[in-house]
Amino acid sequence: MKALTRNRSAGLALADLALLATVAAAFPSFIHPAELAATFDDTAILIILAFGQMAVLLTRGVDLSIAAIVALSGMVAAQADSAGLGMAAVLGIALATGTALGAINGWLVWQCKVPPIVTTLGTMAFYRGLVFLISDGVWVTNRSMSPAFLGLVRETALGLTLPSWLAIVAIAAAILLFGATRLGRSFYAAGSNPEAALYVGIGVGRTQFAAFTLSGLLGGLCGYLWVAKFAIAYTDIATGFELQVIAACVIGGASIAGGSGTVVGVTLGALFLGIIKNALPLVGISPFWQMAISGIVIVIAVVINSRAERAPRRRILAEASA
Amino acid sequence: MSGILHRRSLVRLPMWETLLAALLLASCLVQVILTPWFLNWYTIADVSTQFAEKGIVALPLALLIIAGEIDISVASIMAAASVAMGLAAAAGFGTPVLVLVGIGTGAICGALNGALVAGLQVPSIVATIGTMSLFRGAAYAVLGDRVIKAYPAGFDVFGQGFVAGPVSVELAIFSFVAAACAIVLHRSTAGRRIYAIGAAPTVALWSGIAVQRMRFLLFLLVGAASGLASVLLTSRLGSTRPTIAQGWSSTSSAW
Repeated sequence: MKALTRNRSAGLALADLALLATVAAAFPSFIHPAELAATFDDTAILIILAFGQMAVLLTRGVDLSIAAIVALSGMVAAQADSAGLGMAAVLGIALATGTALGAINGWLVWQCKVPPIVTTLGTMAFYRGLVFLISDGVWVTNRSMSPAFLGLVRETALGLTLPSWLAIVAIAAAILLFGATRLGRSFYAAGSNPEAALYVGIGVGRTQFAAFTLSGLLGGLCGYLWVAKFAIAYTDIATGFELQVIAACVIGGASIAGGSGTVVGVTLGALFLGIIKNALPLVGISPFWQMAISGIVIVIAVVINSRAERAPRRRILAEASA
Repeated sequence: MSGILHRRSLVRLPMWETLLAALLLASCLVQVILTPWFLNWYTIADVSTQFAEKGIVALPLALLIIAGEIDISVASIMAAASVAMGLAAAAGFGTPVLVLVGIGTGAICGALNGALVAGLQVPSIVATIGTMSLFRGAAYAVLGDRVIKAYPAGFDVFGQGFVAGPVSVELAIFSFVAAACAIVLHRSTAGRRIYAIGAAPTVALWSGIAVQRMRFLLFLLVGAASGLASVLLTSRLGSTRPTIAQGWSSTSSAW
């Protein structure tokens, strides 16, 4: 057990498997390949967004506006599609919108020195308000969406949907980005010791800007995926989803204080939440209980994480940090 | 987390507060010009009930933020407290018991947050993200899609009553809480300790301040205040749904 809390990803992988096994013991159909693929498809957006959030968390930030970015990019994409633009243009607009919104967050943190939590709390309300403003509160439904817009997200290859493949590509790209690129390593450096990072030539503000922009870019992509998948765009889509994204990162072992976190861990954290969400209705638990149960799971996971984080340190004098 | 948050308290306060007062005056002026009905005691009294509920949560929350922590679960605590009051009302309890149940539920939720942060050393933003869905989820789990409206006569005095003239009960309670918070923060040892903890927790600990106990008490206080605000809101609306006070967490901390 102690070894497991040391190697968090291995412990989390075992927890994921144990969860699957428990559900499968009662409901064998849950681990039918098609059912697993459906669960993965349902978790894909969470996985993709979690990597952007992980970059932000690594630099000691937090992006609370990510769900609002998803909603605004999704609404812009849906309106562009309704206006008759082609799929390439619609996707381009969604990505550009998300990137621009992320860049605004990053710019405020970098140039105006506003603390990330305050910045994104503000832009969260601002972006959400913009969705209402550009849509006039009117819903865009599947009746006004083009077949191409609705069809792309439902394309399948080898039994997996487009979002699933995008999540797989995102995992591979994230492993490369966070493990083997200058930018990826500077996320860790800027978060674990900003002063030292500055001395070795890493612009901390610039790195935070890059992290927020990356989070926004992925938010733009998921904006299209979300709206096309659920075939509806309105002001309140994805409300509260930012907390799921942060929870996936934290369960996966990314530290809220910056500087530590792994791609494998974050992926497993997102899968953990995804499996629970998809297993609850099957087990026959009322959907009204889902929120309370995911809350309990998050609390337990963060308690275990903070214990594991403190264990290896030995200090003579106590510190008061929380 | 403390590094990110305590910077706000170091902003030069007099200037910022003058600016805020100017903004407040300016927005009132615009309203007066736009509509002839704004400059009327009863409109102002009505506005006061809107901000009193949020203010009652925001003031203790400000103490918590000064101490370098945050609680984003306050709106969910209000939902849980409202549901608890609804259940007590359905069980036939009278108004005084309902108020105790509301504040007590808030205090219990706050104590849980405090235990997670001060006892188990979980960073407050992460802990309250979890309890935020836990408390709101509990409200959903108990109520589902039902609404509780069967509040006893007399319960509406908190949200809809007036003390004297245009001074609503909510405004009176808010003023009392504001005065209490101002005294605690600026005129008591506890207030100076809160600043000390926010500025440098380790230094505060070494100078003999019970840092974790203070953090726990602050979370408890924020929870109880959320319970009190929930009493006022539930009394004003006269009903409880699981979605009550949704989205209030960010408004309260934005203050």
